Amino acid sequence: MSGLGIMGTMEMARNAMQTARQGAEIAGHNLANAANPIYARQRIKIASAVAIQTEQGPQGSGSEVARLEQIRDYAIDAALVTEKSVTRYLETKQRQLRRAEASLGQTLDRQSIDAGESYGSYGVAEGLSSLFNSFQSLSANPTSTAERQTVMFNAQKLADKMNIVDRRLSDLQKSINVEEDYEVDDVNAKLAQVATLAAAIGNTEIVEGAANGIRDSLQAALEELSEMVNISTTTNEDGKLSLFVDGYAMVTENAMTGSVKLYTDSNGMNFIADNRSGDVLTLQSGSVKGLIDVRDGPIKDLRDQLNTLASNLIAEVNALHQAGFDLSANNDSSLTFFTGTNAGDIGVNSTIISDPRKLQAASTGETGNNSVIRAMANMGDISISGLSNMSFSEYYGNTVSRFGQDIALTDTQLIDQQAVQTMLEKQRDSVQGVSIDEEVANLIIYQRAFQASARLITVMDTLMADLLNLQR
Amino acid sequence: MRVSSNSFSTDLKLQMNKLAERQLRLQQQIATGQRITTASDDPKAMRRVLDLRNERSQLTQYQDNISTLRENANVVYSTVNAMKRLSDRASEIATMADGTKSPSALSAYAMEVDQLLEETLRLSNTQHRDVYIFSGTKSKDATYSATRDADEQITAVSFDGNSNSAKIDIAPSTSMNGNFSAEGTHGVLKNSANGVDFIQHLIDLRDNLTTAADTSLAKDAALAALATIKDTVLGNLDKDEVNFIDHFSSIGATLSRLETSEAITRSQVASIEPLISNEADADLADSLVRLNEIQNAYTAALQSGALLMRTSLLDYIR
Repeated sequence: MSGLGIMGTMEMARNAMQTARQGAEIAGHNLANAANPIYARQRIKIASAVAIQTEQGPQGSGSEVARLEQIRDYAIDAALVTEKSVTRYLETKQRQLRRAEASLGQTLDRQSIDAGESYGSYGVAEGLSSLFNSFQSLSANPTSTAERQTVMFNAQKLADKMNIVDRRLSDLQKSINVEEDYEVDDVNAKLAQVATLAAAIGNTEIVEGAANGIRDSLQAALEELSEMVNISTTTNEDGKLSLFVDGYAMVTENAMTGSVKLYTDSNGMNFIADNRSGDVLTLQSGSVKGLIDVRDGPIKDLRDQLNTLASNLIAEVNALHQAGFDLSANNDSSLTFFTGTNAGDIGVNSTIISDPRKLQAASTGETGNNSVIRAMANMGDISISGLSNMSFSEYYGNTVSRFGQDIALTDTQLIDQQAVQTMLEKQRDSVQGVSIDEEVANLIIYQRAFQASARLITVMDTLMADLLNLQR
Repeated sequence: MRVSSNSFSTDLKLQMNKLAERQLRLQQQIATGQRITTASDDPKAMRRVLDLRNERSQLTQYQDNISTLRENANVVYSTVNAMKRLSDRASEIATMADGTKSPSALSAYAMEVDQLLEETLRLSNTQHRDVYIFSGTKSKDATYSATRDADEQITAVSFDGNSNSAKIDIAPSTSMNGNFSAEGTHGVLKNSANGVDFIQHLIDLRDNLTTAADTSLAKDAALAALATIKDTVLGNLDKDEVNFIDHFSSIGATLSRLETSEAITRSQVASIEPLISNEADADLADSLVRLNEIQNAYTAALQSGALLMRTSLLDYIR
């Protein structure tokens, strides 16, 4: 006697049908997850069953499911964790910079310019031109109270604009601080999730084999975490995961061992710190770094530059004004034109607003003298040492243009970065994504295999019946 | 390369998003006619536009200053013109007043000259926009205050203005004097350097005519007064006349300089506009053509996407 025999063959067919059924099931599982973005497709690994020894040599005994495997490219997964972190960093930067640009309110509206300056958009640039022009206008009519009122109106408007811009930018910094606070909670929640998932993989795989579904979730959690802070991970020989943020261990061998906390510096600015040591984390990418970089970089620079502009304007105008004489030929050397010291608190002296005749436009007691106001008007053109030897409007133009360059640079970087990320995602999709066509084709193969094996049972059954009939 | 089912939809979404973004941008450019709206659109161009707009608004202000100066110069011109007419009449009277005229005629002349004097005082205290035009920089003070005798006749005037002038900018680093003065080196009515003193000469004329017409005085005194008019007053009035004429030509020169400056400034303002346009305006033809191209791509993406996503192997198995 050699071979499997009728019963053995029927057993083989039964096994084959099971294999085909499982194959169809997995194809179905894949199809069910076709729209799941974190899902990595699975497939059954079919192996031929153990050969049995016969006198003619080893004979195959059918097939069996060797294992269920998940198609995953760990190199691409790791690369995506890094790249998504950078993308989110740039996205956060871009979003906050756009908000700051809107706060600055320096836009160009060509349609309304031609209808007269006052109808167009009003930014600090327009404010400066209007102020110096009204100084100039007053210098041509130094005794005119109407011109004096115009000067006060334009000065007030510019001061208000500077106050508003500074307040908006400071509000923006505050709102970034609040976001930073939320991010800390999110990072800690995500760290806990990563630790839980990593531990679950360990537990599952000891008992049931590959924890494919949980691996999908872990990869997604790692990507989400890296979108906030850049992370590095290691896996030891037992497959246990350790996770670090800026070198500080947050997850050690599948257990959450660290966390982050909020650190507020003396200026009230929030940073993210390691909870145990209290050290402020030096991040490379992620939304947290994006928030900090914009807050302490371009927005801070913008505020500083506006403050420099305002304080120089206040100092230069006041120095001239305090030496001048008003329409009643009086000099009050304590009477300043502007009050305040920076963009946040610059204002116009209320004494002059209530009585524009007190504006000290003359260098002598003669009412028609315009030396002081003319010097003020010409200050719009001269370079100021406190403004890196630029004129007021040049300095402001420079500030706006530099800020615009920051945004334009971030835009370009983001486009490049998105291209890299898209390419990697495409590669990953090409490896692990579900193809409906492919799964349906597999389904047909399994269907046919199942049908063939069923047929084998029928044939074997006939043979068995024929055999039993021999005895009749 | 293996293609998963999601690749189609993901790719289509990305592509359509990109195309929609470009369409929006072009639509904005076409609707506003502007290539840039904020600094981030083109930081360097924004900087240049801000500078150019500042320059333009400064030039517009210089135009306003020029208008103010022209207005003032015109007012001064017409006032000086009126004074010259008074001076013409005074010279006429000085020429006509001789021994052949009767005392009553001379007295009438004296009265007329007194009126000329009053009119001169009124003109020299002319105000324009609340400013005394001949007071130099003491522009809120009346130019002259008169001392009058018992008969309310002007016996002397005192100058309350000064001969200073405010400089008014008409172009970058270019300024002009904005004020005129009745007295001083460029005095309209009095200039001691060349013996010009219109009001005093009118007083002299009137007083000499009054003396000549006074029948209660000796005949010699009347003749002496007439001789003074012939020998001194007439000559002095000529000097005043020449001074007025000098002022005409200098004001005329000022006006023509202002006109030239205004023309230059106007052409500068005009030349800045195309520069701003160059930096900030969208090329409509170019934008429209590009929008058309992108719309074609967008339609093609939608059509091919719909076709691809609709069909799968499932359609062919039963």
